[in-house]
Amino acid sequence: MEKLPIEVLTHIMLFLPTKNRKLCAYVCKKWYSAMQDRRLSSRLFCRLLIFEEPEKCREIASFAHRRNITNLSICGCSRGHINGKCQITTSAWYGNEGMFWNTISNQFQMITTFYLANIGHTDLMEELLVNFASLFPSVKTLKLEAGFLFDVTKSTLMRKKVLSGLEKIQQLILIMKGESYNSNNLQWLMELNLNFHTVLVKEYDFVIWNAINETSTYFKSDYKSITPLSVFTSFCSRLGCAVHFECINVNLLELPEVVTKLGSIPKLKTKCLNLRHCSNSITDEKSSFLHQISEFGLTSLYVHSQFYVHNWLSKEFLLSVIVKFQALETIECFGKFDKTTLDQMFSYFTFTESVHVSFLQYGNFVRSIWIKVRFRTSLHGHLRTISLISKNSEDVKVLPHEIFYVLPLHLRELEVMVDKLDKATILNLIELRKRCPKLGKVPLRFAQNTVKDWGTFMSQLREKNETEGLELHHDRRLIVSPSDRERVFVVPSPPDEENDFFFQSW
Amino acid sequence: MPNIKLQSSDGEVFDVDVDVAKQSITIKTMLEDLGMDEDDDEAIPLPNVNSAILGKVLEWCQFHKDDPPPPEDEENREKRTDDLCGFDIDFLKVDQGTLFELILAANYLDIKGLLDASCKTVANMIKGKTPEEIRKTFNIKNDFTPAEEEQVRKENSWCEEK
Repeated sequence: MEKLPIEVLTHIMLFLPTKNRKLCAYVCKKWYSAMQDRRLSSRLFCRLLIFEEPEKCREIASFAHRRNITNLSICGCSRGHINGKCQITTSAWYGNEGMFWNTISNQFQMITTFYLANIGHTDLMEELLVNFASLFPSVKTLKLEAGFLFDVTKSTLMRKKVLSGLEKIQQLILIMKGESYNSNNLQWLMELNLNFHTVLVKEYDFVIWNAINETSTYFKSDYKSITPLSVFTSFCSRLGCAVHFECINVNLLELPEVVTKLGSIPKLKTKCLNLRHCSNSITDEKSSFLHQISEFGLTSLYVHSQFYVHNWLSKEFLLSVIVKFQALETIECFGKFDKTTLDQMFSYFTFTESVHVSFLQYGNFVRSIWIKVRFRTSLHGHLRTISLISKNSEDVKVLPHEIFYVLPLHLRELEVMVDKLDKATILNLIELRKRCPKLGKVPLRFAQNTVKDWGTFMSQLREKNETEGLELHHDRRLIVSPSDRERVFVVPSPPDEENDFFFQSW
Repeated sequence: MPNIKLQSSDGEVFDVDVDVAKQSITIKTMLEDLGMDEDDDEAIPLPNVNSAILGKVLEWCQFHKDDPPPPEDEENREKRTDDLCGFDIDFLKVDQGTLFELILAANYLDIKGLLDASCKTVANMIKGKTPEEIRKTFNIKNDFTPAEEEQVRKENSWCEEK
């Protein structure tokens, strides 16, 4: 080990998570030196408490400079909070923040991401925000707890002044937590006439991209709260320039109002609803729901029916959605499936344009079974993609019957990932390739470790002229062939000679 | 398929398929930039690699000769260590001395795939160990003074991962 040069030690550490790297720094001086490499710092940020003494700020700044750490997080909490005890204090209690900010701006010359959290209001904070861009010219991203902003900027005039100062920052992320996440504060933001470009309501986050300078304003609510409908819809009147809307976690009873509000946004091009965390069942509201979202003109709809949510999604409902929204670009659905459903799905695909449907079957908890089947149709209504992802070949083996025998001749892409792959599976996939003319033109690629005695196996295939297009690949990812851009499949699995039943029944 | 000759530090000459040898960027550069070609009878000297290790390296290159070029590193992506293929796992089941020699050879010959695979193997040996356990595993002497150790502790407390 002592022979290894420092750059090789650094290379080894690149494969370690931060926690391990930190421990490595204690091993010896050489390992510590290896840790100083800038490549190991790209994901790091320095943490400062607002009441740190200037001397310590200088020390940390020097460390950050040495390690090329360009992200700085400043908070006004005590160490108790950092340890998870949430003992929140504010900068006002310490009274040295003027010196603090001057020290920071003088010492940290290269901050690109600045995160201010849990810092209370003082006059100096106002001054800091107004002059932020000139104090910290290298900062490209500023994350700010919105509560801090609201507390600091009591008057509209000051708020405008502050935001004007922050305009030079490429990305402004406002994080709304707890009490700051309310209608009043959002109303306040609206008064500033920000020109929103993209709205993303994602679970408990509220993200708004500002079209000007491609800056973004990012609202994040506390995880204990859900975006109140009133707050959410009040933004809609200010979304004249918004082109993308995506909503995850909407109360379906409130959906009509959301739809009505968003439907009036003139430039909205993409509208996506993700019903993964719906807060109530729509079983009794199907027709109303379908009507509302059809009026809305969705371009994408994600429907999840996972065991940890509730099983409100019936196949009939899913199919009715597909029929209703033939123009949808994407439908993603997770749920159990069976032959009847598949047959129905295939029949609908003949006229549905570019629909993408996924099923995820968990089976039971113990065996962690999951099967994912993905369909996509082309403009001509031809099935183009089927993906199977399974953790258990016992359950996957039913799929070939249900899917491949109804497979149109236009199948162009195939992705199969199973844990229990074996020679029989490979042979069966080769057979499948023969049956699908389009698929036969693209190579099948297997992970080289799929089969223990790969060389012998390949020789046998060669004798049968079966090896055309077969390629070794060390990676587990899908490969896009550079020549024809056809996606082919990779089979990434450890060898398992005892599980040769998968696909045997073809 | 044309062959070239590689000479190890202890004088042994290896007759190798050019495509196999060219997995080493060092050798590839020699061939392309320094005007050496496949027809040269002269062996390329590799003074930093002995015959035992060169033999192993060439075995690895032979197995991986049809691999696509390794992807460029993405700095911000956490690197995995659990994706070694079966061959590499078996290939790298060697004593520590050989493993480090392989790393040095891969580094010198600039064979990214082998360097990554061998470094991943070492990383897996480090994971989950305390500094003392790491020292014991690799027979490393702690040369920090108590004050220096305190400085490392402080620096570690100042930074976190995103």
